[in-house]
Amino acid sequence: MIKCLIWDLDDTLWQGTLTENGHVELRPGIRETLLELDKRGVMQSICSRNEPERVNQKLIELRIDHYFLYPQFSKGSKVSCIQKIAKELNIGLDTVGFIDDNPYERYEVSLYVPEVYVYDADAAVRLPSLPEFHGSVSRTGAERRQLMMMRMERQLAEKRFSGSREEFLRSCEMELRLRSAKAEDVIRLVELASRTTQFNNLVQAPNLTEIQLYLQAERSQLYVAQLKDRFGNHGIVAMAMVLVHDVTAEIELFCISCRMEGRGIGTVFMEGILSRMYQDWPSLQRVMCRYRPNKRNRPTLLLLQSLGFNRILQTEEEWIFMLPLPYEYKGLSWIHLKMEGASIN
Amino acid sequence: MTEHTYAPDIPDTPDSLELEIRIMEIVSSLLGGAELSSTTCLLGHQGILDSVTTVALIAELEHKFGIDVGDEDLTLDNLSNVVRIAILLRNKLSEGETKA
Repeated sequence: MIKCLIWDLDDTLWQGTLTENGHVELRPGIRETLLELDKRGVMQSICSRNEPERVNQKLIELRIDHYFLYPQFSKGSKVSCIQKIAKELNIGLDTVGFIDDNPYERYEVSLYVPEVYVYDADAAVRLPSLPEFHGSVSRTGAERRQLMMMRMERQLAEKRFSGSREEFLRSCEMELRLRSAKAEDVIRLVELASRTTQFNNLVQAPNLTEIQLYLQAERSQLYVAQLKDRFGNHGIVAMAMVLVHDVTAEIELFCISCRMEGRGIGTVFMEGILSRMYQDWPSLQRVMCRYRPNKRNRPTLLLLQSLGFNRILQTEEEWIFMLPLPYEYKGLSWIHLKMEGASIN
Repeated sequence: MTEHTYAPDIPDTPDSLELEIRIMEIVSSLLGGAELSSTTCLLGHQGILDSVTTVALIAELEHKFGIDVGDEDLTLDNLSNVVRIAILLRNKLSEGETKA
């Protein structure tokens, strides 16, 4: 599934070359394509050799400047620009699409980063109908671009900030609200699980029916957390599916949005649910969690260990971690945890 | 080739100091210029790195030193502070030397 489409500009996004006479027009159907992809939550960016100022001016003139995140302008290889965009957006290269009219550029990209989906400029208007541009979309999904804008703003604030890291994080005024999932969250949860590969213990995504069944089952609980900070409301950013067998709880699956990296959200969320599940089921003595190693989901491995989980079993495919309960919530000074329907122990 | 024999048990050889400084520089740049010492707690409770940033640090170390850090190496013990990471790094570098 493509999370970000990277556009070339001259003779791809628009007809003509900006450097020649400055007169360019959007190619037919491009405006609709930009809008449609945006609605679906596909992020869009730019990789161009043009002058950034001239491009920005033109994008504003064409009223499409708000669509593009982390645009890159470089005289060098487009490969490094694509890598940079993927890094900034924190997504894998196999979820990136690249569209360019120049066969040389397409060749170079397919050669050096074969994971990237590469398209000829002529394919632009057909892109929304291709299967790789179809993911599940929810209300929050369509707001992804705005969220990324907030993230860019946050990163900018971070660069300007001269105090300590902790002071900076405190100044973000983060509030994480932990609660049980409701029926109306289901689509967002499917989307979160399918988009999250770094912070997903099994690197798999449950489908709609599986999540719905989970909500109805008796000895199971689906916890979610919503994040709010000074940049806005980010909606649901973390989920955990917990199954209770007698005195043992199993965190069957947990995932935390990659867009929230580097802020300690994972720690506070997991500490919160560890404390919460003991309140919900006081007879619990331990919690287990499986981890399926995959270089991408390494943050999960580190998170489990930093929470105090011990590896008790290892097979070729999976590692099994265990932590005794009760768990004492310690939290982080810069994230305020609010527990809906329970207290923080 | 004595100068390339890394001794994990003696943390104060010039090699380890140099490694520690380089690691500290990487950690600091990942945190937007934060100040730290070689014993500042990085990963774990009260650690200044969260798990995602730690993974970014590992990726930087793999890239800059041409080493391969496996999942097995990613323990709290190995990553708790700069001194411990330098020891892991020296072990990895000497493994590479042995193979070569």
